[in-house]
Amino acid sequence: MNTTDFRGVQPNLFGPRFQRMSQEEMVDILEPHFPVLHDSVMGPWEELVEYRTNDKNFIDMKEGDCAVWLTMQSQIRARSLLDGKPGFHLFDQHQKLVIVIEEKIAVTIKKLTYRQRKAADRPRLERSNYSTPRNVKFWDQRRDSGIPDYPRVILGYELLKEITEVRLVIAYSRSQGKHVDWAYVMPPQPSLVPVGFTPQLAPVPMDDRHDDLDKKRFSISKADTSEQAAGGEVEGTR
Amino acid sequence: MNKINPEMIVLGRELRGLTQAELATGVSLNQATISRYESGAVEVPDEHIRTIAEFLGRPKSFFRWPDQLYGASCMYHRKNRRLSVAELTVIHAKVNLLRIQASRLLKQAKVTSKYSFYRMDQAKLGSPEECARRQRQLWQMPSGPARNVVSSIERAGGMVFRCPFGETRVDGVSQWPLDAPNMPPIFFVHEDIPGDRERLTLSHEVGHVVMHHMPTEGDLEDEANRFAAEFLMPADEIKDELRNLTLPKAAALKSYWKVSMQALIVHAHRLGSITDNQYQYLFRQLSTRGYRTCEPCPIPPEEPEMFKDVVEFHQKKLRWGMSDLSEFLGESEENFRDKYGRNFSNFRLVG
Repeated sequence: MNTTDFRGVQPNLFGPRFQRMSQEEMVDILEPHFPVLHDSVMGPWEELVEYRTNDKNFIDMKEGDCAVWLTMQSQIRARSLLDGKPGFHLFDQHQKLVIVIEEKIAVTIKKLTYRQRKAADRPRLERSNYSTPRNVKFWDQRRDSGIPDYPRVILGYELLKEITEVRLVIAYSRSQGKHVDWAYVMPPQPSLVPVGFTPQLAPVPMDDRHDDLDKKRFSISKADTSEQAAGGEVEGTR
Repeated sequence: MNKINPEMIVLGRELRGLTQAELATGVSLNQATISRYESGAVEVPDEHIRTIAEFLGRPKSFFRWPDQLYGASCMYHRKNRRLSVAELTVIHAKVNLLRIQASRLLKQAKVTSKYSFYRMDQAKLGSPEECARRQRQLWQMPSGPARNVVSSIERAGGMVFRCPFGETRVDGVSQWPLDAPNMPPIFFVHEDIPGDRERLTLSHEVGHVVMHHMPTEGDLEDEANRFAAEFLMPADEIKDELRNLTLPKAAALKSYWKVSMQALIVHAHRLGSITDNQYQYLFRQLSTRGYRTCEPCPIPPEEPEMFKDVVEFHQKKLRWGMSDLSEFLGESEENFRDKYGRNFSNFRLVG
């Protein structure tokens, strides 16, 4: 069955739907968990920025490549942060992580993009996955066997400014199309790493063959012609 | 005691952006008198030098400095063509002052660096690109992006200043006077420009000081641009990466090579990695998205250390107080405090 067949069929044939949830209701449930949800995506995003700054192999990644990497790593991060935590239940739905929060909402991590279908349309925030029947049911908030039996929401990220910035949103979809009904931009969150925390690293053997000038830019000493009091050295740092 | 140096009156006036007439009005003299003082045609009476010093906010000793001012012919600029003569005069005055201050400080403090600056003969080496490759070899820079251009310059004994050029359209100025063999090359870069532009500007100025000590027939600015491009993005290493260039790829390359997206596109075009049409298309895209004025993925500026450390050496090792140093540098104490921070023991160089 393809998408066009699907859209022509009477909606109630696909089983009952969850009640529509407003942005306020959804945010009320999720807000206490914003820091951990934020960190699930922003941690891997910061790593991706770091890799793209220092590793040539990450430079020629297109938007889709970055999204594949970021979604996969965000799921791994979410698993490590949330597995076994009270209030969270994690399971895989067709190789995608679904995070059930407080037995009330199922959260999925996805890339979202503003798209303009026709010149006269306003750009809308959309998912970009292929519309399989099960996928359509999932995002149309339908209840069915094999689908988590909770209202679903997207923990979405938008890749902005030539993939140099990211914006996190909570988005709600309740239609057979790919666009979302509403999206709430997640405000900046405090880091989960405690302030003042310093990771303890194992000592790394250092190459100390070079002289002092390799470790500093230059050294300064008193010039011979000076009539001032004798002075030592002030070292420039790297 | 030294005689009054007329050039220092010119410098003091130009640092304030004043004309002779405005200075004359400020000190209740007539313009012809100021003109005669500045040309050295007559001696400046002590009471007049006191008034001029007070009006210009400089210690009296400043006007007795024996130093020489260098004009535009001794300086290279990376600037916008619309820059007015008046704006350029103030910038030259600031540059001359900083150079003189540095040279005074370096009489007391000896800076030792691992590498050096060498003047290169571009005609023998063949091209600015070859000069840039030699420069990287001389400074033993590893392959890949130049990690820190300011650091490379300071490791070779050059001095870098981030200067408050204000709203003017100058990105950088450099000087390496031929008649001052003990003086290192000095680079002045606008303090408000982003890091990628700072790096390109400084590399461009390095190109000028190492290549342009002799008159050449070429376009000096174009040669310095080619030097900077090769210095920051060696063709052998980057050429393949510049194929199929798109804006997202340019943004990723920007964060890796630490040069602007515009510089990458220009370099790709120059190396033949993209066609004329691709080049024009990419620049149209940059304009449409507003990246010509504000690019994504800002690169943080690089901080110079040498001048700050030399001043600190005078303060900590030679035990000079604030009044000694401000007088020595020809600044009023108030100006000195503004420039180096309120807490003298932990001052900050702002220009």
